[in-house]
Amino acid sequence: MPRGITLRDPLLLASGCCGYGEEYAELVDPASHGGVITKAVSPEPRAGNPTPRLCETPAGLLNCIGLQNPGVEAFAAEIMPRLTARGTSFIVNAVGHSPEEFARVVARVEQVLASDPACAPRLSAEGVNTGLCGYELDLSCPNVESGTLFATDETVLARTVELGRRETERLLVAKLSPNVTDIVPFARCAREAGADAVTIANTFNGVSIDIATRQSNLARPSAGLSGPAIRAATLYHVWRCHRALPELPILGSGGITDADSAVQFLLAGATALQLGTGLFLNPRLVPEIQAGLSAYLDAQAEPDLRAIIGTYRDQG
Amino acid sequence: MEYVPATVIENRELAPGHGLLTLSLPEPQPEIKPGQFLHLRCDPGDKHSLMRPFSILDANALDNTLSVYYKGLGRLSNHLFTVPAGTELDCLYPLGTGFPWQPDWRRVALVGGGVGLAPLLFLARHLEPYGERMQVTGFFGGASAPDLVPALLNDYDFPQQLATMDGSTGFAGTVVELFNGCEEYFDVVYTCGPNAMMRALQQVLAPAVPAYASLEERMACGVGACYGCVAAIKTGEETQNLRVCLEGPVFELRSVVFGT
Ligand SMILES: Cc1cc2nc3c(=O)[nH]c(=O)nc-3n(C[C@H](O)[C@H](O)[C@H](O)COP(=O)(O)OP(=O)(O)OC[C@H]3O[C@@H](n4cnc5c(N)ncnc54)[C@H](O)[C@@H]3O)c2cc1C
Ligand SMILES: Cc1cc2nc3c(=O)[nH]c(=O)nc-3n(C[C@H](O)[C@H](O)[C@H](O)COP(=O)(O)O)c2cc1C
Ligand code: FES
Repeated sequence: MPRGITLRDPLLLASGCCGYGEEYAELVDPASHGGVITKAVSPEPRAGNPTPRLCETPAGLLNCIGLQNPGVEAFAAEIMPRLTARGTSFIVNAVGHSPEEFARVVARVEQVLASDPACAPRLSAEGVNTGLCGYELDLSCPNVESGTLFATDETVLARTVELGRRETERLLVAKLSPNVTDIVPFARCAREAGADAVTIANTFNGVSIDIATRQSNLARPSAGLSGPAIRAATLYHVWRCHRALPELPILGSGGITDADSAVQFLLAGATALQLGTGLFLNPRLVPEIQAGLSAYLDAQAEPDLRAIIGTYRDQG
Repeated sequence: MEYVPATVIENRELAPGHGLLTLSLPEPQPEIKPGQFLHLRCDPGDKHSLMRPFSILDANALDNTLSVYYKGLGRLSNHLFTVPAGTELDCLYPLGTGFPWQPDWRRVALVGGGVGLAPLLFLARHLEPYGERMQVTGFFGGASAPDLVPALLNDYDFPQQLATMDGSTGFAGTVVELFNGCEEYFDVVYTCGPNAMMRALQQVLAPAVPAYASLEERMACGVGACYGCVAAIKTGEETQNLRVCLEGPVFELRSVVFGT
């Protein structure tokens, strides 16, 4: 039985693009959006990569942040108590070098939730789940043992989701990689292993070369591409996945930077939308998309957003 | 911190490749400290490019204006030269920490070059009202005379010592060579410019003088949310990757671990 959560709004702030939700709080009203997906949390602290970590490409952004984060212990001790107090919904983005490491992050957070009532999630008067209410497994990184990516090796993917599932009764989302020809088998595998939903997708692999020095424009030879540049390609994966697995909830992530692209993701089958690079391009994005979505529903005489999910007329 | 549409009231070319942009902001203007910067949408028609960080060169709370000194270094900074007065440019400001200053720091050295001049000039202007008890001295360097944009520097009347690599104006050599040994005459040193310059300054500076550096890194969000803009900073025994846009851009010069 999949575990759902109720959010105030389908717009979420994407992992790695909004810190732990505090940095944007002054610009993006925390009471206005659906919730925050935290920066990656790993079992041990990670320093991340040297700079340059960023490089702009036409309508895109390459990043190689390297999952800089203080580790799950500091997250539990310093960050979690602050998150819960704020009345926003949070999903923890977990990451690790092995399936066991992902599970360690989930288990440690669960331990804190169980032992510290101040950190426990709440149900607001409007029936919205607030506080820390689920996990997103960032599967787009290499598994140290096999050398393959969690998200592109079905055996490792299944094991990671299964081990995470054992540690929690809360929402568990598998964040898949777009760097595959067909995303459907991976989405199916995640669901069968116990994921309640999938995030489609993450950054695409990309390279940018300084032609004068013939070296990378970033600190790493390759990096992750986000922003409008990946919108159409991400939408393709969302559409394919929804057609093949219509019951599986999809969180769309990749190049949603205006109301038009938000509607396209819903039509293709996403039930929630994540805003990442779009926030950097336009800190007013949340209210602008919300206004655009209402205008679209009015113009199309649709009662609510649910009514348009997956209604892409791909048969003409 | 605000994200607002700012109106260009003047955009003047100071010299080929160097510009001065004056923006009018909706009221009320928050307090702005020297060393802080703004994130500017350089081309309002281009919704698919990131904003660009620029130091605040001056801010006037009376008429709600602020100005930016910019150099054409790439696509969007060059686009700025074409922006006419009256254009609205979205702007996220004020960002970052400013330069720390204490009332007993009266003899102030500014060591800078390139676009690093901007925050130092704002600091000089900020300290002006303290009158004769303040002694601000600028040590400014560039490759050649035009880099030390006379149309910009002549607007300030504190003493300035100039250095150029080709000797076309002032001392022939680097600004750090020019400054080397002078720190005993100062209570504090502020620096902003190319990393190579600040690293050289870090190496020659006597340990007793407080010194602050304003750093530059490529930025995406400008508010501390993406961790794209970090610099390696020593905090006690540890070295941490701190965000230039949020924890900086100003850091204690000696705490900065400059890359090679
Ligand atoms: C805190 C801060 C304050 C700054 N203050 C000023 C200022 O007062 N005046 C001014 O003219 N410039 C300033 N800069 C630099 C300015 O942001 C860059 O020149 C600008 O982003 C380049 O954009 P572009 O589209 O023209 O260049 P692009 O076409 O994007 O790149 C051209 C070249 O500029 C380099 N570059 C890109 N971003 C930066 C950056 N952030 N810092 C340094 N080099 C960069 C690229 O590596 C590339 O080599 C500041 C930067 C920071 C981080
Ligand atoms: C600077 C940056 C950092 C990111 N960090 C993470 C991360 O820690 N974990 C993760 O699962 N995804 C991370 N992502 C991926 C985003 O969450 C998002 O899936 C991706 O950027 C595509 O969406 P967008 O085009 O809306 O940005 C990061 C993206 C960016 C740009
Ligand atoms: S630019 Fe995003 S953290 Fe500094």
